[in-house]
Amino acid sequence: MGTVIIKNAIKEIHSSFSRFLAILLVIMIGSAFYTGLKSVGPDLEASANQYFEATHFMNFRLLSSIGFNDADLAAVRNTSGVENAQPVNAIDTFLSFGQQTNVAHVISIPDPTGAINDLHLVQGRLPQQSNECIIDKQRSEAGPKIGDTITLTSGTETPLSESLSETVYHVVGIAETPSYLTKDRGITQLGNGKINGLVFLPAANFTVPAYTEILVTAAGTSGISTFSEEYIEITTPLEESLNTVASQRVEIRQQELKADAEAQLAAQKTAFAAANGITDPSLLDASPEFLAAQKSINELATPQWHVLSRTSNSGYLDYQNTIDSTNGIASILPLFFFGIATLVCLTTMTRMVEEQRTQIGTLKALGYSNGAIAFKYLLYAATASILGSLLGWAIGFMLIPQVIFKAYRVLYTLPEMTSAFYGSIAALSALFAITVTTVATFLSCLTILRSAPAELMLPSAPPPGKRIFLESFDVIWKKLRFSQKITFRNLFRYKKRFWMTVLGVACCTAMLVAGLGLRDSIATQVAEKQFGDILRYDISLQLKENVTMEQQSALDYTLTNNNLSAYLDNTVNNISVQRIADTSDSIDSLLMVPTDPASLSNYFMLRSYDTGEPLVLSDHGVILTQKLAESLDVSPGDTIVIKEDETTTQLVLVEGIAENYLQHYVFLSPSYYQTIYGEAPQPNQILGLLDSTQPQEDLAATLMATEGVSSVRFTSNNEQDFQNTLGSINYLIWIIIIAAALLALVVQYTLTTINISERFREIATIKVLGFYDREVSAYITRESYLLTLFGILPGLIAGVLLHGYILDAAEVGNVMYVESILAQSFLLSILLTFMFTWLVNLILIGTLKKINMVEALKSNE
Amino acid sequence: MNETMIQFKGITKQYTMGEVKIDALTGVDFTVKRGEFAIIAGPSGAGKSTILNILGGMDSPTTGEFTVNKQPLHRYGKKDLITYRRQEVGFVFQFYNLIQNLTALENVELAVEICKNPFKPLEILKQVGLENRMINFPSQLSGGEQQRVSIARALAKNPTLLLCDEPTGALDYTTGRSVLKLLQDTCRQTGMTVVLITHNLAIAPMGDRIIKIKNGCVENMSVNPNPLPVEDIEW
Ligand SMILES: Nc1ncnc2c1ncn2[C@@H]1O[C@H](COP(=O)(O)OP(=O)(O)OP(=O)(O)O)[C@@H](O)[C@H]1O
Ligand SMILES: [Mg+2]
Repeated sequence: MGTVIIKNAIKEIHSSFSRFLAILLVIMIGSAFYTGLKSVGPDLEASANQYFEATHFMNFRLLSSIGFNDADLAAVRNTSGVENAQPVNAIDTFLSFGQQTNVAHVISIPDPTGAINDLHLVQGRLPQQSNECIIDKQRSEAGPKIGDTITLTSGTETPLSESLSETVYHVVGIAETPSYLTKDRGITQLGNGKINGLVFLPAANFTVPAYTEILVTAAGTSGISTFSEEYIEITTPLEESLNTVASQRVEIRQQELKADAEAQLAAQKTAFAAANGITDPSLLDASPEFLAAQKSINELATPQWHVLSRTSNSGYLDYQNTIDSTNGIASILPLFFFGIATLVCLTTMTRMVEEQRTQIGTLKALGYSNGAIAFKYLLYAATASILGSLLGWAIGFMLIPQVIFKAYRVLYTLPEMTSAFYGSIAALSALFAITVTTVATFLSCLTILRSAPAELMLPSAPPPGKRIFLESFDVIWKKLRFSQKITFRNLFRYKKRFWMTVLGVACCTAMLVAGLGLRDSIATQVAEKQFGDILRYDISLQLKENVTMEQQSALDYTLTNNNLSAYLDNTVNNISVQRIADTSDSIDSLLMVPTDPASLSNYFMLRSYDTGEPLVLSDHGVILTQKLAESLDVSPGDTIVIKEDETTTQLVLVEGIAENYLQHYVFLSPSYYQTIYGEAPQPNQILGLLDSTQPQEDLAATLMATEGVSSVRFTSNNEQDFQNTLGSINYLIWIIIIAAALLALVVQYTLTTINISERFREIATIKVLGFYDREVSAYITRESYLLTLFGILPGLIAGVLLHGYILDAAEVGNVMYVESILAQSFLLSILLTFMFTWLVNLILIGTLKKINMVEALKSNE
Repeated sequence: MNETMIQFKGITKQYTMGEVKIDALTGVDFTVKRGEFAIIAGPSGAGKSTILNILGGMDSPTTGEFTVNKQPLHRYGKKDLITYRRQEVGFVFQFYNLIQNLTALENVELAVEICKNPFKPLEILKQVGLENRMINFPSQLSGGEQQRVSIARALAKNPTLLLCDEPTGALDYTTGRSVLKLLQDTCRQTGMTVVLITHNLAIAPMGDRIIKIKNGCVENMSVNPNPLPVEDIEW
């Protein structure tokens, strides 16, 4: 390959720069999009792993119904596979700062030696004195800053001084903790049921004898991604060991408790005997109060330990789902972009080779080999695609993740999300780009290189005119105006351009439909349907266990006198559901037993997922929500297993499948509940409808003050939380829409410029004939608009398919998206596509004006 | 027949190509009367096409004044020049410049679509002897036939001025002659003013007026009182 060819290629880039730019741009957009979307998932994963390693995020969290003592801690530490175990104390209190009072979750600061769930200090320092504290960033944003003083007060009858040595604190630092990955701080039995902030105190300030929880890290997990299979393999055996330890310790603790109580009772008896001069022990035992005490000792409930893995942390689960969704969206869309890049490259290179046929003929005649000639074009295309790839990488690995992180940062408390360069993703995108361009170039060269030099010296015969199919329909053809006939002839004459443009336009419309449709499906419609149509209750009250009759009637009184226009008692239990005769994983869901099934539709609309018909709870079957039924792959008539825990399982018949988008539910009538469990349901929840006039905060306070109520939750708050989560998806969708728009512009521009350059003489001729500028541009743009129209219809169809595919991949967890796309998104896609055509035409009208008739008609090409 | 149709006064045209300035026309003066068949002849590069392009409103002179049909065209703006082309000028090129995707008839129709008083395309095609080839596409016609279509296209507009730049340049002797005859007959029958460019001085005797161009200016202009029919000229 002589340097001549290389020089020639460089000259070519110079002289046809806009063409070079088109290929470069289209590859750049394609590879930016590909690498960007593909790397966000891994970036999120790596950022989380980095954070978890740095803060020693727990692998397991142990909770106990009676707290933990040092012996428990020692037993956990001695379990094989445990690397470290640390105790934590925590308590919910009211936090007052200035005028504000709301609920805070107060946690002990991890021991600096071997800390688990270490704090990530954002600002300030750790406490050095017992009256200093740290608060979380989110709480600080709404109030106290470093240097301010906060006051903690008890939310129960027990004074706070029994749990904490100090109640007034100076804020000295602001921190994040890996225990809370999202801004949701969880629920509490105090106040409006929602925790507003976190307060971190020196561990020594907690004066309670028992630890609230024990955090455990597993040996051998460092350097392993928490989202990997390997992680599960390492931690599963440890989970089993911890469960074994739990059952042993529970046994021992119960014995100890019993023994303690017995000893206490004996001491009381002795004291009582001494004080009253009783000598006969049997007399003592028979006294009613000691009998009752003995009875309660005998009936002492077995304490419960819970071993919770990382996935039971709701923020962690959300984060994992986010990664999966992002990966899902990134699965197919980028390929579309490369498809379009191929198209642009193919048309551009074909035109370029065609324009230079005489030059190619000359080179051939001079004895240059086919390889040497093709090399110039390959070099041209490869240079464009390599430069495009490099720029694409920069945008894809740096800019796009940052934009997406920006959205996720609203949601997650991860201090840092870092974008990295992934060699494999980069290599794949470059390989793709270069292959696409060089293959397209090679194909463009093929026919010309096969021709004899003499043939190439002659101008290529323009494609001969032909009658088109439409002309055989006299009825239509005769009705067309002359200019319309010309337009149609021209459209069908340039077959390649016709298909390329239709395909290009179709792709752009498809991407716009998919992008806008994703927003409809994921954000707009889910919120609308779930919170507008399905969840109709405005407020839900969680009740304490064993509510007495008096409490119940007091509660009823409060409810009817507090703007609740109606309410429904309901029993809600956490269960897991499995398909019968299936060893597959069970799915967590909520069991709902409305006390009055007839009025359920006022609170929770049960309607068939396909027909929309209302569903009624019967006495011999359950109604599942749609996503649950899909995940289990069951339909009405099938039997499923519902489990309260590992030992209590029930077989139930599926009778109906209800439309629902968030959370899995299994609905049951009270009589069917009675049939399968042998006892009546114990209502533990109240769903209510509000006359929305009363301020909600007041209502929450009043209800919380009522005995038997453990928490209050407003549906509007839930909806707000959901909307916040979806804000982040919007960013992703905007990236898709912008990229689609850019691509649409490049495609249309390329195809239209090529069209003009091919029909240079024709345009010059009509100019000479005296067509005004306006008429000349109409002559050409009529065709563009018509081609756009032809491209839009298949584009809409392809868009719907693409949308469905992405939605499938992005839908994870217990959320279900609405499949349909709103009419306005279709309209907007059509409008935008036309707007791009219009914009490109606007640019091209300038080019048309500049066409020099004299030059164009001088020679025979 | 004595009315002045075209008047060129001191027309110059300078092309600038980067640093280089090319004087294509260095001061052209001539007149053509209404209904004349004028022949502009001269060697290659003399500036013939440049004159015709200015005359046809496709290009503007650098300096000088010229009128066509009493219109001071040197003062016209771009849009007025298009209107002038549209209503008053018919062009015939060496390379026909037909639109490949339109039939013979449609090529003519395209031109008359935008005119005020056009002739019927069908009649004109009959006149040029192509009534049987109307529905054919250019690629299905011979060079001579294509040139006839292109003449028909120019004539159908019913222009006051017919401009032909080497219309026989790409045709063989006999076909060339028949095309020239068609042009001469049209001029005689309709009284249309025709300006024809050629580098072949042998056909000069068929014109009413012969303008010889050399090095960008008129070398000689003569009126031929007895123009010969094409049939009587041999070359
Ligand atoms: N667009 C242009 N830019 C620069 N120079 C030009 C341009 N058009 C014409 N010329 C120059 O002007 C001069 C006259 O050109 P013109 O085309 O009028 O000659 P011509 O007499 O028609 O020749 P031919 O018989 O070969 O067609 C030539 O020297 C030509 O090179
Ligand atoms: Mg010329």
